[in-house]
Amino acid sequence: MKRIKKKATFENLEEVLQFVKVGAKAFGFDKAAIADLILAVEEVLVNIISYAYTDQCKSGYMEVRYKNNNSSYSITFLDTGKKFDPTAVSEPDTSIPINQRRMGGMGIHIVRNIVDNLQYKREGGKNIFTIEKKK
Amino acid sequence: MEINRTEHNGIVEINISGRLDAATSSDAESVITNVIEENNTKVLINLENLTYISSAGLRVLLVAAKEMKAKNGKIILCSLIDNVKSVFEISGFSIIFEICDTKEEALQKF
Repeated sequence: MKRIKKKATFENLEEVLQFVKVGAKAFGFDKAAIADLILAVEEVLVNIISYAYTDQCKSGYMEVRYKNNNSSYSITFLDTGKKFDPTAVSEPDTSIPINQRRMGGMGIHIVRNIVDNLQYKREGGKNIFTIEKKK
Repeated sequence: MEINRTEHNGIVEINISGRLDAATSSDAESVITNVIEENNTKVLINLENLTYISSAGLRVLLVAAKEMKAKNGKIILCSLIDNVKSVFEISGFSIIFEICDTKEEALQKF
């Protein structure tokens, strides 16, 4: 397992994405799968950066860990921000007309479509969210 | 991300290149909103040089489409590369937008 822990800011986003990219490449994903995975990771991190710490005066961190077994690559996101369960976000209706359409939940919807498994738990004041993508 | 606009025969073409994500979406939004607020009703968004779009980028396009709809105008997107196209499909945006394969095809639809 490898990990990176950074202050949850947009300035650090690229570095964390690069970290995940290196792992995904080593795992053996092809270019298209890596591009999809990075999009999913960015959606999760942008959520953390944008919303996790908005209720607090001090900023917090985002931690990303990845590990692989033979057939799947899993990425875990940790933050100490307010409780947020991405797996509980309802699916947006992507068939409704444009003028009624809302953006909420679109990021997690994209994540759901890219990865094979999502898992969330709240433990010790942390949001622990894991996504898993199979080869 | 780079964004620029050109005009031909009453159609405003907005060209977005590079990455349209959380870091760049507000710049893109202000350019597109300006174009719509100037009462242009025919807008072509050319994405041939767009290499990456995230949900923050999709949000900008959705806002633009809503504003345009309120003015009875038309937005057409064209020339999406494969990985951008795949994000449109995943999000359902390929259904709500009019998307053409080429700029020439798009220009004929206004």
